[in-house]
Amino acid sequence: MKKLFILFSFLTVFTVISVSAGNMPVPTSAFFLKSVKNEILQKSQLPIIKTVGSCTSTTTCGNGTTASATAATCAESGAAIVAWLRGGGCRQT
Amino acid sequence: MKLSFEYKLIIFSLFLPVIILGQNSPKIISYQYILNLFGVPTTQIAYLYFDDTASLFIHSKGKEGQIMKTEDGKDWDGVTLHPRFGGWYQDTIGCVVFKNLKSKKICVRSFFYGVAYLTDEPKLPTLKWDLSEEYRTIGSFNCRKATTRFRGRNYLAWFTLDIPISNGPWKLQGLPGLIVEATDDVGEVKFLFNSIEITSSKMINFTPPTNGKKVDFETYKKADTIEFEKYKKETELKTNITIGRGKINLIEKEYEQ
Repeated sequence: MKKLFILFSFLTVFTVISVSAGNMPVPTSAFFLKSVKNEILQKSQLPIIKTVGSCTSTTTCGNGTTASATAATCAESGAAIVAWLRGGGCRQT
Repeated sequence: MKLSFEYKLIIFSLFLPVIILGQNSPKIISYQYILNLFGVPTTQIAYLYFDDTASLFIHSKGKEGQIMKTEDGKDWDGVTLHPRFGGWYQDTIGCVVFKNLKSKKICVRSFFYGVAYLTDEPKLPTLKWDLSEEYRTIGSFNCRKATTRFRGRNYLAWFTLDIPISNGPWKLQGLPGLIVEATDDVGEVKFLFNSIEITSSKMINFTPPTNGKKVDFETYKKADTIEFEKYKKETELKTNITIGRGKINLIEKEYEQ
């Protein structure tokens, strides 16, 4: 009976403190879901942001020069280099 | 001792190649010309047309345009992007070194970023050779080893007294016999013996090369840098491609004073 009283008192004091503290964060499953969702969104957006305008294809010519093309995708930057090579790029001695 | 006619004929036949090659008729020696200045080895056949006094060393001659090789030495398919591209520029005249051993004249036609340059060097370079006692047979020739340093590279050459003409591939010369093979000590420049033939004198016109941007020798020495700057500017204006210089490694790394 004494133990029950101590427990009840402790819970009451804890509740009073919690309520008086106002907006004390109360962990709920909804809160966790929300933060996880945000994190997933950020992570899934991150590579897309990085890829735009940042894929560089580089080739080295037999005369030691290097040629680099940067485009939105690697396929585009590679195609630019190939077109340039076909057009007489990478001319050598 | 009297030799029969058959024996005389056999002996004569044995000396026939030496007799023929010793005549003053022009000859052609072809070399496998291997360049590996940037880790993409390119091999092509180069020809030295020569007689007792004059010669023409020619490579990169063919149809207009360029042959592209990939890092594995195969012809480029025109589609696949490889990290390294070899190949060379060529036209219907080619890269030419004209030498006259009597007048000590030397004229050169070379490509720098696809642009043909012509120059007369002040005089035929004097190469100081060290002769070795090492001998080797290359083709049917008995060859002797010699070494020298020329324009920033150490060369090892094999020359033959079977052809007592003081000439060789590219600008190499000055030995008592023809240079049949020559390589630098780092394996970046190689002239390997391929074949030799005798030709009719009517076929070869030993004259200095023409058709190109004629410059003095001092300008010629800077041609690689001049043309690189133009090439970079033109490319970056026309395309979205950025050109970098990388490490400079030319066949001629320096020039004598």
